[in-house]
Amino acid sequence: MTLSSNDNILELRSLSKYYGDVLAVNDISLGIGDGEFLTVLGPSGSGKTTVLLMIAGFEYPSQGEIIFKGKSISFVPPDKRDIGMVFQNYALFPHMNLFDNIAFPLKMRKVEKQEIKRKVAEALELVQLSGYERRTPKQLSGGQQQRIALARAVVFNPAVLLMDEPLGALDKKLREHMQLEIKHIQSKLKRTVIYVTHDQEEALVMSDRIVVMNEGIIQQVGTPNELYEKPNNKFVAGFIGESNFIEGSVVEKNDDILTILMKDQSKQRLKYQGNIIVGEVVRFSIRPEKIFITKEQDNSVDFLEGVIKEVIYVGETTRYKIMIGNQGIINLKEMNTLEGGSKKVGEKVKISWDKKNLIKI
Amino acid sequence: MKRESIRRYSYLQSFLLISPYLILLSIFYLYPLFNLFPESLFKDGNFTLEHYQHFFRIPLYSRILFRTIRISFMVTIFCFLLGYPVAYFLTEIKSQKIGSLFLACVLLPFWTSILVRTYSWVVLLQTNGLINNFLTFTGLIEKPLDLLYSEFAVIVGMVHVLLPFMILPIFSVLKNLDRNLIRAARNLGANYFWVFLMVIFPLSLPGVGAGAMFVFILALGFYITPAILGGPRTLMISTLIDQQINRLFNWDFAAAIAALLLIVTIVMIVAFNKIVGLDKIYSE
Amino acid sequence: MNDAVAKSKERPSVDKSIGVNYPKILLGVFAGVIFTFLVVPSVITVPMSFSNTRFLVFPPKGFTLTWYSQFLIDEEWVGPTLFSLKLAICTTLVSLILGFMASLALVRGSLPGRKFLNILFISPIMIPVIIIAFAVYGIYAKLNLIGSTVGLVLAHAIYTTPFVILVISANLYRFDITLEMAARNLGASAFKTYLFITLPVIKTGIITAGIFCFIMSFDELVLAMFLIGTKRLTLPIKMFSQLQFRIDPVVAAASTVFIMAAFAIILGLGFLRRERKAIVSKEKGNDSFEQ
Repeated sequence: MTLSSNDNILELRSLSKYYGDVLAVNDISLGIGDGEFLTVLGPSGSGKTTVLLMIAGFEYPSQGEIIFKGKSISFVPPDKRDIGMVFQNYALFPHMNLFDNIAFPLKMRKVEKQEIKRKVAEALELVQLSGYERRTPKQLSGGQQQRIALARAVVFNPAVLLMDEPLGALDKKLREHMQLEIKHIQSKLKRTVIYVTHDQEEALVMSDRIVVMNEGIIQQVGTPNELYEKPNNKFVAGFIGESNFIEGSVVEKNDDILTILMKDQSKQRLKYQGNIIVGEVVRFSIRPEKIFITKEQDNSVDFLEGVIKEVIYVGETTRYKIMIGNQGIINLKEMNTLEGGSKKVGEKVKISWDKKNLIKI
Repeated sequence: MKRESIRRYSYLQSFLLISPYLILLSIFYLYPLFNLFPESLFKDGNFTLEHYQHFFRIPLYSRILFRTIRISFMVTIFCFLLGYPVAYFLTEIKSQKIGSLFLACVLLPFWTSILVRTYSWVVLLQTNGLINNFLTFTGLIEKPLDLLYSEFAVIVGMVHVLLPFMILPIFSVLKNLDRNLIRAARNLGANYFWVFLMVIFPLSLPGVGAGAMFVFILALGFYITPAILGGPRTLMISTLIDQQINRLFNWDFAAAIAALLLIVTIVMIVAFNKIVGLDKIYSE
Repeated sequence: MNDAVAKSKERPSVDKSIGVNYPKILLGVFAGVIFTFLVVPSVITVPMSFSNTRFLVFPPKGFTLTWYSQFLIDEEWVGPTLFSLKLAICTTLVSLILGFMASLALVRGSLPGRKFLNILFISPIMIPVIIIAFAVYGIYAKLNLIGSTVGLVLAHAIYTTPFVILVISANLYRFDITLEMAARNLGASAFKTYLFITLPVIKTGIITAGIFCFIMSFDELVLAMFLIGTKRLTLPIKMFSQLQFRIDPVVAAASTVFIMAAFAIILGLGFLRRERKAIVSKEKGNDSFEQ
C-alpha cells in the first residue's frame, strides 16, 4: 500500500467514520498521486461514498486525517476546500440556466465577467456542448446533464475531482461512451480524479489504480491488471471479474501437480505453480476465461474431468457450467470463434488451464 | 465546535433556529392556555369547583355540549360523503388544465374570506333568499322555509367551509396511489367494484382519517359560522363562551367552559394522532 | 418517443373496464354539483354588491356603484381596511421569518422530541380560536397589550405560523439537498448557498405560505375582536358588526374587492410562471438535440 510519499496530492491517514454505533469507514489509509485516476470500488454499504463525502467535506472524520497538498483539511468546510465534485444525481441548479450553473463557482471566487464568459465557453467546449448556455437543466437529457455537471466541476480548475457514481443513471451504451469521454477529459486536463463506483467493469476500464473496499475496509489496492490477475483475497477475486473457487486440502504433491481432497470427498488433480506444503488447506481461484476444454485424448494428468450441466449462449461467448467430482461446479467461458460448435449438456469433457493462472488466495 | 456533518444542524443551531417561535408560543400561547385552569377554579377569590359543577348540573349546558358534538359529527360525515367522490373525481381527470381548474375550485375557499362566505349563506338561506325563491318558484313548496338560524343552516355553512379540508388529504393520498397495485388486482381477476372496495378504498384510509380528524376537531371549536348562521336557538360551545364573556361577563365560568373544551380538543387530537398519525400531513 | 413516455406518466387515471362509463358520468355530475356548492357562496357577493336595494337580495336589482364608493371613501370603512392591511403585512413578515427558521430546524435539525414539537406547532390551528382569544386576552390585559398593534401581530402570528411551517417543511422535505452540497463544493458559503440556491428553489412555497398568511390575518375575526380594544377596528370586525345589526350592501362591496384582490394575486402569479415557461420552451424549439 502506497503511503506518505511526498508526490501524493491527497493522503488519507487512518480515516474512520462512525454513524452512531455503526463503523462505516474503518481505518483507511491511502495516498493519491497527482494526475492519477483512482477508483474506489465496492458494493453498496462498503463505505466508499462515505470516504468521498469526507474528502469533499460533507462529513467530518471520527478519527484520522485528510491531507491535501500537504495541509490537513479534515475539518475545513466544504466551500473552502477547492476540490471539485460531480454528484450522482448531477445536482444542477434547476432555477439557473447552464451558463449560470457553470459560472457559479467562478462567481463565488469573484472572477471578473469577461473571464467568466471565456471559461464557461471553454468548459462547454470541453464537454462538447458549446452553444447551450441559455438552456436549463430540465431541457437536457441525462447524458447531457452529466456532462454539464462535469463542466461545472472543472471550470474552476480544482486540483482534485471527485465523482460519485456519476454514470449510474445512464443506459449501458451511453455509460460506456461516457466512461471513455471522462477518461479522455481527465488525461487532457491532467487532473487527479477520485472515482467511486460499484461497477467493476467501469473501474477496470477507467482507472490507473483501483482501491477495492468492503465493509469499510480496504481489501486491496492496485492497478486493474494487478487486481484482476492477482487478487489478494476471496472478496476481491469474486468482486472483480468472475472467479471459480477451488478449496480443499493438499494430500499429494508431484512437481506442479497437486492432488486436492475437496469437500465432497473427491480427489482432484490440479496444475499449480508455486509453493505448497502437503497437508495445507488451500483455496484457489481461476477465471472462467482462463479455463479451456481440452481436445487431446491423451491421459496426461493435467486436466479435470467433468460433465456439462448447462450451456448458456451470450453472443460473444458461450458459458458452460461443468460439474467436477460430486458437487463442485466450475464456470467456463469460451469465445465463440468460427471453429467448432458448442458442446451439449451431458457431454463429458476434460478441462485444463495454464498453471500460472491458478491463484492461491 | 466540531460537528458531525454539514447536512444536519447541530443541537445548538437547531435550538437557535427554533427558539424564537418557541418562545413566542410559550409566552403568548401555552402560558395563557394553561392559565385557564387556575382561572376557572376561583370564584370571587375563593378556590372552588363550582363552575365545573354548574356546567354539568344545568341541562342547558350539557345540551349545548352534546349539540356541538352531534353537529361536528354530522358535519364530518357529510364532508366525507360529499368529499370522497370529489377527491376521487379529481384523480380521474386526464387533462391537466381542467384538473387544475377543478383543484382551484376546491382551493378557492382558502383564498376567500370565511366571513364573506358564511355571510353569503345568510343571503342564500334567508326567507326571501335564493333557495327559498327557487323552491317557491318551481312550486316545490308553498311557503318559504325557515332555513336560517337553525341547526340546518349551521351544518350547511360548516360543511361548506370544511369540505376542502376533507377533500385535500384524500386527494393527496389517492393521487400517490401506486397504479400498479390496481393493475395487479385487475390482472388477478377483480372487476372494478372489487378493486375499489379492496384496494383503492383501504389504501385511501389514511387520507380519510386525516381529513376526518381535521374536520371534526375544527368543527368542535368553530365560532364564526355558528355565530352567524345559528342564531340564539342553536348555541354551540364556542358561541356559548362568547356569550358568557361578552354579554354576561361571567369570566370564571367562561374560563371553565373554555378549559373543558380545551381538554376535549386535546384528547381528540391525541386520540386521532394515535390512529392516523400527524406525520402523514407532511406529504401534502 | 419521449413524448409518449411523458404523456403516459401524465395521465392520473385509474384503469377502467370498457364501455360507456356511467359511473364516471354520474361521478362527474356529482362532483360538478359539489363544485358549484363550493364556488357559489364565494362569488355571489359580487353581483350583490351592485344591487340598488338597501337590503341584500339575490338576484340583485338594479345597478349602482354607490356601495363601492362608500367603501373606498367613507372613513368608516377605509380606516379598518388600512389597519387590516397593515396588520396582515406585519403578521406575514413575522410569520414567514419565524416559520422558515422553525421549518429548517424541524426538517434538518437534530432536535429531541421532534414529534412532540410537530404537534405543538400545528396545534394553534386545531384549538378553537375562541379559547385562544379568551386566554390570550387575560394575559394581554395584565401586560397592558390590549389594543396594541404589536400584540395583535404576535397573536396573529401564532395563528398563521403553523401554516407557514406546514408548507415550507413540505417543500424543504422534498428539497434535493445535493443542490446545496454542490453549491458548497463549488465555493459558496453556507449563507450564500441559502441565498442563491435554497431560497430561489423553494420560492413558490414561500410565496404560497406568505399569501395564505396574509389572507388568514386579513380575514381573522375572533382574535381581533378580543384583543383590539376600543379605539380601532379591523375590516372583519367592521363587517361582522354590520352583519349583526344592519346588513348593509357595502359589506358586499367590501367582500367583492377582497375577492378581486385575491384573484388578481393568483392570476399574477400564474402569469409569471407561464411567462417563464414560454421563454424556456421557445429556446427549446430552436435547436435540435444531438446525443
